[in-house]
Amino acid sequence: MIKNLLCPRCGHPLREELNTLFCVSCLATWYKINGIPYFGDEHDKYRNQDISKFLCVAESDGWDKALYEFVYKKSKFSKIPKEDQRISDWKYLLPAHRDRFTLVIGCGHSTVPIMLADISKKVFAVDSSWKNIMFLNIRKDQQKVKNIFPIYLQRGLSLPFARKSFDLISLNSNHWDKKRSASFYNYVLYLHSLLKPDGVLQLNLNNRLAASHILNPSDKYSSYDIFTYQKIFRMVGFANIRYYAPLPYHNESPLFVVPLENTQSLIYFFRNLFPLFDMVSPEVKRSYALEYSIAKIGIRLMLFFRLAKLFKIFVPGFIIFARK
Amino acid sequence: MLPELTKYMLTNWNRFFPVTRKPNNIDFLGIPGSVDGGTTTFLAFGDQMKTPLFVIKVHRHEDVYERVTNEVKVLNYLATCDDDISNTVPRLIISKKISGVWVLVQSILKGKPMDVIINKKGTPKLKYSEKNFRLITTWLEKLSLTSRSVDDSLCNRHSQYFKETIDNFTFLFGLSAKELYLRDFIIERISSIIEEGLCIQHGDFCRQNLLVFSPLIRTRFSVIDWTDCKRFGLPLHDLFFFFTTYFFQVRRGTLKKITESFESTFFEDNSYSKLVKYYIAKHCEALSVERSNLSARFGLFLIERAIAEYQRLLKCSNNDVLPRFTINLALSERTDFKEALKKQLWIRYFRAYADKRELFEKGL
Repeated sequence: MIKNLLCPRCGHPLREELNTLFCVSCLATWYKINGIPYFGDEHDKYRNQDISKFLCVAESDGWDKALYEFVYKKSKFSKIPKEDQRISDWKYLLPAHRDRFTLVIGCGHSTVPIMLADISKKVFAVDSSWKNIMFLNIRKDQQKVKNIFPIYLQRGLSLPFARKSFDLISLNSNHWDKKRSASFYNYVLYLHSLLKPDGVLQLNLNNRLAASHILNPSDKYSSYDIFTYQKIFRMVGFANIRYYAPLPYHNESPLFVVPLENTQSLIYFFRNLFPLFDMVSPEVKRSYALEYSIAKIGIRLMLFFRLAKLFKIFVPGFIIFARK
Repeated sequence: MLPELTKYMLTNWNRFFPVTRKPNNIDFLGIPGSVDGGTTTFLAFGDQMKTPLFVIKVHRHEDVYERVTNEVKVLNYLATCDDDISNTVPRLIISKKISGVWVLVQSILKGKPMDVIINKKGTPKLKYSEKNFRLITTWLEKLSLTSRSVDDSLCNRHSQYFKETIDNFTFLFGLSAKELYLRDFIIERISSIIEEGLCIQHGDFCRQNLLVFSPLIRTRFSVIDWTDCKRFGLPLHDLFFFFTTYFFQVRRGTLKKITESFESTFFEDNSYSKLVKYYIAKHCEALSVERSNLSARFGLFLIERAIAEYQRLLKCSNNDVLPRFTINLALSERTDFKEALKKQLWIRYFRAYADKRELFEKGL
């Protein structure tokens, strides 16, 4: 794997010696912990006790038990789990190409890298959370997935890869580093440079004009509306861009993934599928009661005034595919 | 994978859709479904067409050959039945492995999922429910009678299958004395239940999979999602499943309410329960099924569901986090991971049934 990695400080090749990675240019030294490249400062971040407990359970009793206990604990405080394999069902929208090199930025609980492993030759998974990276390392070993390479990357450092390395880059939630990147535009431009010709950038992004975002301005992620995203992707040089709305939320397992360019499919969705939200369990329904009520009123108005096209402006977020 | 399927469909368009204009491009609307179901669905929209052209069911796992073959066999069989059946089920267009993924392309059926209206007491409104019950029992009667088989060797094989299922069930769930008594009662009746015939079983006959289309003259009805179907199942299972799940998802309140909805459907002496039992009895009569076997049939149905639920969740937990609903149920019993899969919905129903069987039998 190391031959694919560059120094995240200066972008020059790394040389591996025992468990150490040396940069031949800036002489920076990075370590490998449990076989995982650790691009970060030497501190005790990874020795945090909570993390250790979670990872110990994963290692000794299995990733599934650790995840169950984690979700179980969260459920006690009504924080419902956010990801399962439905979150990566967008992979079926991509062309079959088993030789692809994939980069996943932001691993969550490993679902996306694991699910993308069977449509890729190699999956490089980068995260700034040591817990997520270690968990992925344990989970992929236990699930016998051999083509995933987890990498810890501290916020503020560049991705340790050469230009034109990937066929697919998946950016989950808003993981771009605002401290370093001057803007989202720069970040997308940077990711564009990492893609091979014809490579695809897949992003899960917030919508600045979503009802949930407007009602909760303290939302920690900055975001844009669909028009700004369109403008940015075109300026960066992506040729083919497709927009989908994952519903009810963009950063959780969706119940629907609606193509936003096809007006007739939107109308069909409003008339025939949107009412299905009423059929979910009361627990699920309660979790998005406010957003649902607002959406219901909005949809009635849009259908009445034949303004289905406007739906894309107010969706909670987007799944975007941008082809180089 | 869908781009390859699109290419294949467009190249062979006239073969699959001889009377539909070939679109220039196809867009896909995704409906991921439940995580433990193992499939995800896409609706295909051509250009600016108002309704989907076809539906694509994608199996998330690779080891689903048997599941796919079952569905293909059953859909092909149903396509040869009378219009009353063949027009109410999806037509299979393609079943194929594309880039390592099992895909079933099926025709689109009109309608919206069957709705339920709840009254102030928390049970479904009778008038509305009766209309639904009449609709589905008529259809199930036709399906059962059309696909019924009483072949001896088939019966022997199924008798063995059910006995093994019950053994597995006993081993997995650890039964109380009352539950063991119910189990033995069921075992005694298995042969006579199977001798009454086997028929096609949908396997997920809940109202979400029943599409109702009401033009001016007559309400039409169709049945989708045959993923869990069986060519030879027990005649009343789909009806039991329909009644058990009819309003449990829309019942407001805590998870305890879900068991309450089961109890008010089968054990309580209320007008909704009477309506349900009336239709069960009527269905038995129409299929010439012994009413004395009903109690054992219902127990067997709950056992089969509990085992199926356990196996489905076990498979799900091998690949992914357990569904939210499963965790919530486990949470309500404060169980650890090892026990979570054994504290789910259908085993709860079985235990409740063992406890209150005489109330179920009342009125049947």
